[in-house]
Amino acid sequence: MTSPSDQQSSNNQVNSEASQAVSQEINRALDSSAANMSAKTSAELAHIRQQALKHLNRETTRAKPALFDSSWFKPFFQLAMPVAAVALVVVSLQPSSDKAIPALPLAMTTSQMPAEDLALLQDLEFVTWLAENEQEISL
Amino acid sequence: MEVFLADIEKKAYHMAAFATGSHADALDLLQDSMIKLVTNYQQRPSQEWKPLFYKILQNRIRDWHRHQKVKNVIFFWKNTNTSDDNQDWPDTLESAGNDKPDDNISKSQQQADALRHLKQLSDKQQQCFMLRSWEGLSVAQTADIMGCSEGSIKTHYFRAVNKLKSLMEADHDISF
Repeated sequence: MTSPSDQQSSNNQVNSEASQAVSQEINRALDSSAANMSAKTSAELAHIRQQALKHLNRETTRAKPALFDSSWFKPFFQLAMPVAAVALVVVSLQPSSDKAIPALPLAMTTSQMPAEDLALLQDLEFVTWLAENEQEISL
Repeated sequence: MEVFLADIEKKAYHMAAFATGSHADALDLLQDSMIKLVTNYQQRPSQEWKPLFYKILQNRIRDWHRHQKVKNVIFFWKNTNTSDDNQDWPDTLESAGNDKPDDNISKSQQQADALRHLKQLSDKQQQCFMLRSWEGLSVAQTADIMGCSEGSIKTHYFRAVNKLKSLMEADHDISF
């Protein structure tokens, strides 16, 4: 006498074999259908394949951008360009020295400046302001 | 790439034809999928092409179904049941059976019946069955291609086989 578990496993095996038989039957039908495809359909499939392969040739023969195939990506430039970029950033962020500003000539005093010219008047005000600052520093 | 496309085109055409029920639409979907594979994935290793191609094709089929749904909603007054007048596929079994001896005609008829049974499955069950059983892809690959979980794939496949079994048993009065 068989136990329920044995009976269940044998049922599963039968179901599995039946499923396999069904799958094989359908697969055979599909294989046969694919193998016996009409000449017209086969020609159409070949045509669309060729159309797709034209894109393959187009992609491989497409010219690369000049930036990516020129000497820009040679090893020398791979090192030199980052170094140059870093140097440029460092120089641009460097605070400008006070020594670079020329000293104000003492001869430019308010008495020697012409009063009627507007532009010169503005210069005069500026020089006055500078002179005041100079006095404050000297004190 | 050419060898791969030539090798896969017939099965892919059948999958698209089963999904759309139209020869012309199946060819369109197949061409779009081939062009996309060639354009975007030709640099990938050749062993990746098959799952990639079927994934593209399944996405195209899904898009096609969405478009059909929208089209049916917009043009609701038109007769949208075009599955009967587009039956120019598979056009092979009948023509193949015409010039064969009598004993092969019954075999051809049996195979035609099998395809008819396959067509009675739902879209997902059809595609799942063809990818798993006919194309021999794994559960994981099929799940990735169809964009669902492995559990769903197992369920679709199980239901597809059971339904096919019951249809074949009813049709031929046999039991597997």
